[in-house]
Amino acid sequence: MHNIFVKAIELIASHDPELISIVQITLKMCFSSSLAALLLGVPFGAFLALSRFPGRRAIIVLNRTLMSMPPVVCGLICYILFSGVGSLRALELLYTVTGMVIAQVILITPIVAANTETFLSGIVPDLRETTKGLGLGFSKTLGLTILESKYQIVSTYLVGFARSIAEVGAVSMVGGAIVYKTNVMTTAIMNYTSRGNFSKAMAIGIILMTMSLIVNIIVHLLSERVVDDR
Amino acid sequence: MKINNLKKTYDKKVILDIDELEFEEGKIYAIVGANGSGKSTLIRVMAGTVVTDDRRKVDFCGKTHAYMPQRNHAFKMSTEKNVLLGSKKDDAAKERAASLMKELKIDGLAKAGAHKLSGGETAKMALCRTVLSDAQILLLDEPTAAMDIESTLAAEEIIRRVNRESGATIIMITHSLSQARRLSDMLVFMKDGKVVESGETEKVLSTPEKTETKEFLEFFGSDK
Repeated sequence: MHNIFVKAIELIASHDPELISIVQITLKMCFSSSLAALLLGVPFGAFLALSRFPGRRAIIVLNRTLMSMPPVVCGLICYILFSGVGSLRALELLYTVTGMVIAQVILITPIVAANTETFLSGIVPDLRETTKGLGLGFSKTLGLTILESKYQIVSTYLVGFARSIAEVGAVSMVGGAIVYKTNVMTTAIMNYTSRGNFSKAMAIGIILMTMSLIVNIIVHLLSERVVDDR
Repeated sequence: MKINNLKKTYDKKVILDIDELEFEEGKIYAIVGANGSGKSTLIRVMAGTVVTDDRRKVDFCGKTHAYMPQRNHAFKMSTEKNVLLGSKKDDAAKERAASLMKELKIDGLAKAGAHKLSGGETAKMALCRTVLSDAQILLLDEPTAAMDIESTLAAEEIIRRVNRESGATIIMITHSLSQARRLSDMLVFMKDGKVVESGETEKVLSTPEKTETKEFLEFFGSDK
């Protein structure tokens, strides 16, 4: 174990081209999917929190159900859609980073939407009563709502990013873990482990854990700030 | 300003049912009644934050109005910025804001984050904010409920002055009959979503006509 760990550190220090490629592809995928999920999930969550319409509660329950969708189920659906028998085969998304991003967006957006909906539902009633009482218009109210939620939005983005970087089921099915093309950190760990290359798997594990640690420290600090601001 | 046929139902229960209620311009009105009598629903319907069953809005005859809710939101910005939220941001408004905050002894918190204020301080900030909006009708839902007695008297003085100087009509909910007596010209007593009795404050409090009003005054007569 000690040897594996030392070799892993040496590999990281040696700037191994394959390792660098894996980290680059992972970051490209994670930034894209978490950003897309944020852009879709925040307005959707805000819409659920701010509006009242028949079926709203059913949509909230459905969204929460989608939050717990197993990644392999999402991977399976995307695989069928993108493969030769699927309706989206013409887009040639199978075994591409774009296809992996789409699968992750499906997984992460419900989490972002639910976080946004829960947070806004807590502040919006008093906020809206106050702004309406002062005669402030929709755009001013919207601006103030975004201002009130800024830390929460960044925190939600990072939660999405953390989910994205740790995900393996959907990306391995849709991406196929092709070296220098779609192999990300989680799929690479699986592949190296199955091949017995434990030091390389450990090197990626260390990088992955370090990145997760950084993201979680930021989320923690932001969460404290949100609590402190209340 | 006249209110006609205002009805609000929640879960098949009628919580507001007002046939007719008239507010004279430039007067201070106190709306009193037990919890659940429909006072807050009435003022929220007037403010437009709650819609009636027929989705009708109260006609203020072209006059501007501002509303201070029971639960005031303190935005994550300085107390001063919160106070100026519904008003102009010119020097005159800033001077008035500073003067109001000084009267209510929150001037020392002007640059502090308003979301960190206590309940009483938030109420003071919200009262300054509502007064500064320069609306011709002020709707205040228990504006001094969270304030200590000294601040309550200072807030009452501000309300009285706004009414006197700008001629604004003040419609406020209070649970304190002493406050209603000190501050208001007119009193509206509500029960079960209906207006039971309304008229000059002194008259209603000293010689109530309706049995429900008498019972309420007997029970809450010598209040806080």
